[in-house]
Amino acid sequence: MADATRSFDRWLHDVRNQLSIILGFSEILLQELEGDDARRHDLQEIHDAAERAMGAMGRVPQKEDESGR
Amino acid sequence: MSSGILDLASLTGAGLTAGLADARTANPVGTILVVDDLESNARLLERMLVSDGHRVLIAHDGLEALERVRVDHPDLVLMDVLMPTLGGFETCRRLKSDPATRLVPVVLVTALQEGGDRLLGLEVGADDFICKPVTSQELTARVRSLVRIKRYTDDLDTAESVILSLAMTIEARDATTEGHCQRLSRYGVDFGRTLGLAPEEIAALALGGVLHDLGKVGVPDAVLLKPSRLTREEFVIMQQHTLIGDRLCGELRSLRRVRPIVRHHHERLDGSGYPDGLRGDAIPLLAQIMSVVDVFDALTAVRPYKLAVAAEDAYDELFREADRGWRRRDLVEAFVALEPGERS
Repeated sequence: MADATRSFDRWLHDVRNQLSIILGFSEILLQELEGDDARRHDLQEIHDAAERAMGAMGRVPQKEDESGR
Repeated sequence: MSSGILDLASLTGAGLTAGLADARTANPVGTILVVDDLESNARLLERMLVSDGHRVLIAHDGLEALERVRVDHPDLVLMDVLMPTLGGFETCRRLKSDPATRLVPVVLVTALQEGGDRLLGLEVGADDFICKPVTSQELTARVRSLVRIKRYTDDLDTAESVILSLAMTIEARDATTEGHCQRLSRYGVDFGRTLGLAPEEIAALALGGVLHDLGKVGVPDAVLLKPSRLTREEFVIMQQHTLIGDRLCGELRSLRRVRPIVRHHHERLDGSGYPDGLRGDAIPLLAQIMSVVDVFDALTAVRPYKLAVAAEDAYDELFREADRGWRRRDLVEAFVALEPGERS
């Protein structure tokens, strides 16, 4: 059970890591694009989707470890 | 009327620190070491930091980070927690337990959410903890704040080094007192330990031995090096060294326990000492201790104009001064009771 919890935590960590890369770079590009750049809307979609996915990660039910924590 | 004393009033430790700090913290950009095994993460942090004016170095695990810190002396370490070979917690613990690297701020950056990991980070000495996703606004604000603190720490360290170097110039100017400061530090530490003083008080005595006559940098050679007896006017000038030394230590926090030693090591219990004519217990204990060892060393050391007095005769002189009401007899007794090995 403890092993399963650890590997679940590791999976959460890895996915959050990847999402934070998408969020970070899209945020940088959004700051660098001119206000009227035609790609801004598409980029904003990528950023918002990553943000929603990150939010969904936070709602994933946490598995209890052996101590019932 | 000129007193003949160099005007060092404005050159205080606090003045040095403030001047350096103003110049160096106005734009707190620095060299940041980013440690992450995931190349994309490292590049993301690099992009954010470089656009804020920082120079960025990258390491891919804890062992490489330890080496980069040792060689490149970054102003800040931004480090992932989960890394192969050596993780962020252990790397942070090693950095914080090494005197050469413990003052480098470490920020742990993690995608973990567990509160326990944050606590563990604090336990290993991390200065801050950032959870992913990191926004550039949050990152640059925290990094700038920590780099500014690092600058202050560096400047305090620099100011203290300048003060210590200044104190060592006294011995260089007056070759007859060679080794006096080091002996006083050693006597002070041994005496303090015997009296059961707290570690921070013993540390103050160690530093006080070196700094007690710091203010003599402001006393002209004609007075400081005069081989014969000082005139009344010259003695007044010489007495100023306690006040000058006190001002030079300024508001340096690291010297706050040493200042009373510098200012009051020529006070006497009956109020006949200088510079403030303090009486009895109003004279700080550390200053009284330094006074005992200062007189002992002055008497037992060889000077061009006098032979060394035997230790036994120096003790007698200290007891006579206690009888005159100048110093505490119990302190003299405790010093005399030290094993000879503890005074040599």
